[in-house]
Amino acid sequence: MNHKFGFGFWASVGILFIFLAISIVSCFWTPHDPMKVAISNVLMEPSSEYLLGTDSLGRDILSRLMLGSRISISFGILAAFLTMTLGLILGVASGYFGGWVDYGIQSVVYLFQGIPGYAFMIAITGILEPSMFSLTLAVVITSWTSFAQMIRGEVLAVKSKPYVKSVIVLGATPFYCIRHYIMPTVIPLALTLLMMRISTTILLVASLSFIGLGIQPPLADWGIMVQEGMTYYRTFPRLVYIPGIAIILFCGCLNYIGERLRGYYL
Amino acid sequence: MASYLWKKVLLAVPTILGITLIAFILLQLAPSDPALVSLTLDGTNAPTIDEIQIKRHELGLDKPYIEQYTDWLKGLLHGNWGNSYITNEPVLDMLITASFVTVLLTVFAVLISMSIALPLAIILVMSSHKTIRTSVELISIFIATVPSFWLAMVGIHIFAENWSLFPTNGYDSLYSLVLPAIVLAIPVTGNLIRVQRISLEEVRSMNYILFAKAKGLPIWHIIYKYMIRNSIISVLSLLGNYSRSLLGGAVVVELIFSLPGLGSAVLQAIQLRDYPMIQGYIVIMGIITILVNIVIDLLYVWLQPEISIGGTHES
Repeated sequence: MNHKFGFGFWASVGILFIFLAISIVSCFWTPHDPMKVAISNVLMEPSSEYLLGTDSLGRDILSRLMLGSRISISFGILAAFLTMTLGLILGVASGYFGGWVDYGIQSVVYLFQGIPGYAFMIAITGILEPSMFSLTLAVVITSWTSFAQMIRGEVLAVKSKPYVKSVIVLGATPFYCIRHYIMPTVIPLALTLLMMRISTTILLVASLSFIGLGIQPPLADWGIMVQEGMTYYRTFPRLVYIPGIAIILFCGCLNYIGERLRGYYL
Repeated sequence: MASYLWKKVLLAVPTILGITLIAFILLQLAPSDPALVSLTLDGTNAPTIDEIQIKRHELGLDKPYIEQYTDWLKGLLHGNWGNSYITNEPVLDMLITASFVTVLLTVFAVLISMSIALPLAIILVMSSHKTIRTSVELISIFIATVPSFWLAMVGIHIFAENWSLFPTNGYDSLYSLVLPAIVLAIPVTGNLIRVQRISLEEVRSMNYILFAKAKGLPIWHIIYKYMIRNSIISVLSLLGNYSRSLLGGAVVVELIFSLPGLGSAVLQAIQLRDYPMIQGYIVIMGIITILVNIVIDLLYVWLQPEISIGGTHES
């Protein structure tokens, strides 16, 4: 990428901000109570009171969407952040220290890469009963390897540069070298990867919730909303379209920004 | 090249061992007791403590962990993967029948996405319209984030119910795999177009292309002989990634389309706490993944013989 970020980039940032703002606002206020079941109001069309209509249990769709945004996005950020931490530590250790440390970590990486991520996530959440803990564990265990590999590649590239080599020869401790030389190059890459990892996590959690192995009802999550809308899809397709579009919009913008940033830094 | 292949196979063995270990440990962490589960499956039994003890002994659950693990491993190697708690059939047979469907589905999906992405990428590279290129780039990024379950439902609604082009669910013939394969292929195609285009552009700027044009070779000839061949390499690793994730991620699509593949088998196993089946699933997915890795590596070596001479191979 040789020129500044264009219109698409900033438009995506804007959309992301809107979503984040909605999620934060939903902590304090939603148009209606997203969990309040009101059978007398089921499946209503969008009106001035219920801006996006109601779902099959009479809950306001807009409020559930806001709550779902908060839960999906915050879980995505948390899980992706944990993945980044683990991947960063192991990637830097593996790339910087080399030798046995590298060999050991690489074998573990190879082992984990042999298990298809999605299958493993299903197995973990299925066996360990779906909960926040098992969900986070599943996401982190299956995603950290690609993170660690990319970080390791970058660390190796930086470490071979002359200015780093000279600092090591001059007697810098590993801690000093990592903190002042490796990190400034690696952190931007890690942050870029983090954005894309958040989007992947949200997609994974949504599809796990769709199957019933992720976030449990009555909490709202974009995946659960799609699943709940499935029964009434033929007559009320908006129950399915609305959360789906939310997912595509949010994750698509995250991915787009991530790709642009990656092109900028690499 | 043979030694390269052997090294890969040798590396696969400890990996599969590790996977079996992980599967075993995972199951030991499960909150329910397998003996109790298998006794109460039909929902009517309320087994006494003695019956549970007998069942535990029968399933070998009172042996020390290491012995349980080695027994299970020995069984795996001899083809005895245990019997399902539900149907009491051998787990291996059930898994193999199911994996046919899943592998077929994945192969279809990869073929479909390649056959859409490659021509599109070539057209993109050959055209010089900047707006078309940036907008297609944008579209392909967003397409790559479409959740498969959502797309599956939309696809069924539009194509199977409203237009009756495809069967809505079930596995009657190969044709019923087409719509699920398209649904699986679409997110992949988005990324594939982008990578393909970047790689084609790289090739296009090479000197030999200029030379071929100067020689007067027709454009189709150039595209076929040079550009496609040389750009396939970078696409191959992406395809490898996608094959692996498609094999695992076909779960949701299989569920929605009611296809009797590995995905729906394991989901059912999880819901009914069919532990031997879940263990077998993890192991067989590991084996399939490693096989796919080996195939992709072989394709690499076949397409670019320089790699097999022990150059740096970045995993």
